[in-house]
Parts: sequence; structure tokens; C-alpha cells
Amino acid sequence: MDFSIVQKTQKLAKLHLSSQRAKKLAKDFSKIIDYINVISNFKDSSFPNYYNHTGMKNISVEDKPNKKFSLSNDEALQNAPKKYKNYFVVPKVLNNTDE
Amino acid sequence: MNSSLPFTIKDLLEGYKKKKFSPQEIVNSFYNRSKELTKVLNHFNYIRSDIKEVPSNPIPSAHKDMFNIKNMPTTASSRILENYVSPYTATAVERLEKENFYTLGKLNCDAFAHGGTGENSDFGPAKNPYNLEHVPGGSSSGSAVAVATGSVLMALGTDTGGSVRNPASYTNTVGLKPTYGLVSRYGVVAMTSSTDSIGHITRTVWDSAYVLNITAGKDVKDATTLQNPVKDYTKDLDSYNPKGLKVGLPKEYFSKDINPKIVEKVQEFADILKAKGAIIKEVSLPNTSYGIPTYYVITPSEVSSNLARYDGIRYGKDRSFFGDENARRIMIGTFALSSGYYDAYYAKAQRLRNAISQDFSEAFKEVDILLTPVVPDLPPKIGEVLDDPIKNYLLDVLTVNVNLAGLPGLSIPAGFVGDFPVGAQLIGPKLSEHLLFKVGSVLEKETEYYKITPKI
Repeated sequence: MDFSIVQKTQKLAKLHLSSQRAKKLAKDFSKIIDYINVISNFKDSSFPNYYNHTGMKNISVEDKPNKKFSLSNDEALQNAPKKYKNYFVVPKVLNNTDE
Repeated sequence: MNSSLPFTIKDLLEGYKKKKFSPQEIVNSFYNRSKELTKVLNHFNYIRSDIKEVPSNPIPSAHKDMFNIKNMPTTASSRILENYVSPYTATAVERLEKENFYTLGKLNCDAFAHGGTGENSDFGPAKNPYNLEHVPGGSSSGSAVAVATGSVLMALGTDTGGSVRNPASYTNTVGLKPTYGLVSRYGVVAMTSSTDSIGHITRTVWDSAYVLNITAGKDVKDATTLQNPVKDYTKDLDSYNPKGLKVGLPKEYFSKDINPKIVEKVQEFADILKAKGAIIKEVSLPNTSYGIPTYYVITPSEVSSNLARYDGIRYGKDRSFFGDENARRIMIGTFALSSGYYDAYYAKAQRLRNAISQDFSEAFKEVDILLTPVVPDLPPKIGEVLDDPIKNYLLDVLTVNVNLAGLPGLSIPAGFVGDFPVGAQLIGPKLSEHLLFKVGSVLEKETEYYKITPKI
């Protein structure tokens, strides 16, 4: 497997790995992809390319808040690493050189 | 084992009826035992700080650290969630607590339930109580150890590819993976939403049936849940007669790659059923060998999507804290779903999933139930398969296909090979849990392997 594909995949997944870990995982990644490539031997295309366990479709609920299931504002924010008043603080997206 | 403590849920309930012990006495004993044993076995991630308010007739339990329980930490055994405290409770736990199950704490597992040995926990592996140098299986490692050692009388686990049945077979306990959708996934850390099943570990089949009575059924908070068709899974467990039952032995599950001593134990079970009038028949599940590679396309794909939520914004630490196995799966999934590779991997795996599922449907035209080993070999030594992801994946070779097809599977004690317990797996069509319990009960009564406990 081309290392550039591995690097691209890590970037897509936003894993932010150190270069040492990235190298180690790249090796494992190639081995696993080689292993799962065995599925290409299966040539029968009569089976659908999706899977549905139960035959259920369009399960929906009315789109209105249910106090019984909802978290309060404080509960929703209780685990936030950074917050401001009643909001989560998110990192800057535009012009962020990290990406 | 402390022989004065009740051994099963059934014993405990009878003891309460006869007023043999008080609720506080029971909770104190199990609580202290859990606290002592985890120093050696590392099976708990968290034990509650006080046991002041116990319900009437409490049933001591603890749950895999994948279940949210309000005001308790939920870490999924990952550093990412090290400081996370749950603001709500999972449906399965809520239902149990309403029926007097008392949660003593949260149990160790592979981080985000990725693994078959428990070693991928960021908090160190739980140990096999039958030999501390070996793994107890995974990913629900702590759940199996907790029940096997009598730290609790039942523990919830999650089974996405074998994570309840595999550790149950390594620890001489009973592990149920219910039909996909029978038990609500609400409030459980998501791994592979299309195969995640909420199961549990107990000592006996009756206890397992008792627990499913409580956890099974429709939940408005999980749209994939099914109506529970059975009123009482404990009914007829003592009186069931397997005469005429058609039991299939899938030849691919008894291949040369499976430890012959384990095969022998499962064969003994087939002989017991045969002696009682069951019809034993060889069947074939021809796509079995595609199971692991198919699973390792589908699971990582869903993992890469489900674990995208860990962005360190709403909760948890940033993504650099993912362990190696988490990172591997996220990468494989991201790759399998990416432009240019989707058809060759994800779409192909879905076709295979249908083929694997059809294999089972065909088999169930010939037989009522399948009997197989649970794992291909005895529990590895701690560290033995840790650096070889594929070897690790292959530990689930006999369990993953059941998840891909959404079927129920029950692992029950089938005896010992040397020091190590071995399990046998019963697989049935969708929603056949009651039949699995009945057949399991016959084998359990005949052998009573569950009465053997680790010397700890």
C-alpha cells in the first residue's frame, strides 16, 4: 500500500497521530487491507449491496422536544472541555492552518 | 469463593423469600468482594463510593463501561472519555434497576469494545481468574470476570462480533447475545450500529433468561428495537424435552483450525442431546470463511462514522487519545468508505453479509438449532496476540457471522481443557432465545459445569 494513501486516510479521519505512531499504524493498515482483500474473490453479484435486518423502514417520531428524554442545558454542558455562557466553545475552522 | 454468599440470582431470590439474609448484608458482601478482587483482576473501572441507599431485595450487578449510568463515569475504557460523567442512563440499565438490580460499578473492557481479549483497554487488561497470566476474553472482559468470580451475580455486556460469548466461554459463565434489536441500545456507547447487541453474562441459563425478561422489548428511544414475543423466558426450562429436536453441526465450525480438544467438548454436548432423543445432523454454512474479512470492512466503516463524534468539543479529550486499535479501525473504515474504494470494499461486504445471512436461513430449513464451539482456541497469554491485529480478529471467527446475520447466540460452559474453561455456542433463528435457553438448560442440568469456580 502506498504510504501517501495511508497519510491521506489519517488526515481524512482527523487522527492527528505522531509520526512514530503513524508509521507503526501504516504497517498494520497495509496488512489488514491485504487480509480483507480476500472478499474480492466473492463474485456473486445477485445479492443486494445493502443489508436490512428487520425489514423496518421509515421509523420516525414527531419532531418536537420531549422533556423526558432531553438533557437540560447544564447537563448537556457538564462534560464540555470549554464553554462560554450556555454554549460550547469550538475551535476556529476558517483559516485554521491545522487542517 | 465465599460459600456463604448466594451463587446465582435464583439462589438469591429464594434466600430473600426465606429471609436468609438482609439486603444490606448482601450488598456489603458483594461490594467488599468486588473491591478486594479488582486489586488483583483489574476487572472494575469504577466502583461506587457508597452503598447507603439500596433497594429492597437488591441483586448485585455491574455493567460494562459502555453503558451510561447517570452520575457515574462512563469511559468505554478509553483515555478520551477518562473524565466523562454520564448525564443519563441507558435503557437496559434503567429497566434492570427498576427490578432491584443494584449497580456496584462499571467494568473494564477493550477500549470502545474493540478487541477479543480485553487487552485494548487503556486502563490495563482484566485478568483471567483461572490463570492470571491469561486473558479473560473480550471485549466484555470485566463483565465475564465479575460474574465468574462472584463479584456480582450478573453483568451487562455488548456483543458486536462475539464480545459477550467469547469472554463467557473463557470464564465458565453463560453469555447471551440476543437477536439484533431485541434489547435497546439507547445509552450504550455506539460501535457498529448494525451489529451491536446488548447481551449479558450470568452463571446459569435460568439467570440469563430471568435477565432477558427484563431487558428485552420495544423502546421508543431506539427505533431498531423489536416487540418482545415471549412473556417469560424462564418458563419450561426445567421440563423441556429435546426429543425430536433437530440440531445442526456446521462442518465449517469444526475445521482443522479449531483446537481439537474444544471440538471434543462440543461433540460431548451433541452426544448428550442425541441420547435424549435429539437428531444430530451435519450442515454447511458455505460462506463462513468470508465472515472475518466481511466483518472487518463493515465494522470499521461504522466505527469510523460512530467515532467521528469524539471531537473533544462537547465532551471528552481530542482524537490523539484514541488507542492503536481504535485508530486502526477508524482508518480502515475511512478508507473502505472513501471515494474510489467504496464498491470494492463496503458494497462488496454488504453483498457478502446477505450471502452469510442466507447460509443460516438455508440451514434453519433443515435444523432447529446449531451447536458449535465459541472460540477457536484456549485463552491466549496476556501480550501473546496484542501486536498481531489479524490473529486477534480471528479469535472471533466462530461468533462474528451470528452478528452479521442478526441472530441470537448463547455461550454455555462445556467443561475444561486443562485449567481453562471451554464454552459451547447455541445459535438459533431470529427471536429463538427461548429455545436456546431450553436446550442450554438441558445441557447445564446434565453437566453442572457452572458449579466449578476459580480458586480466587
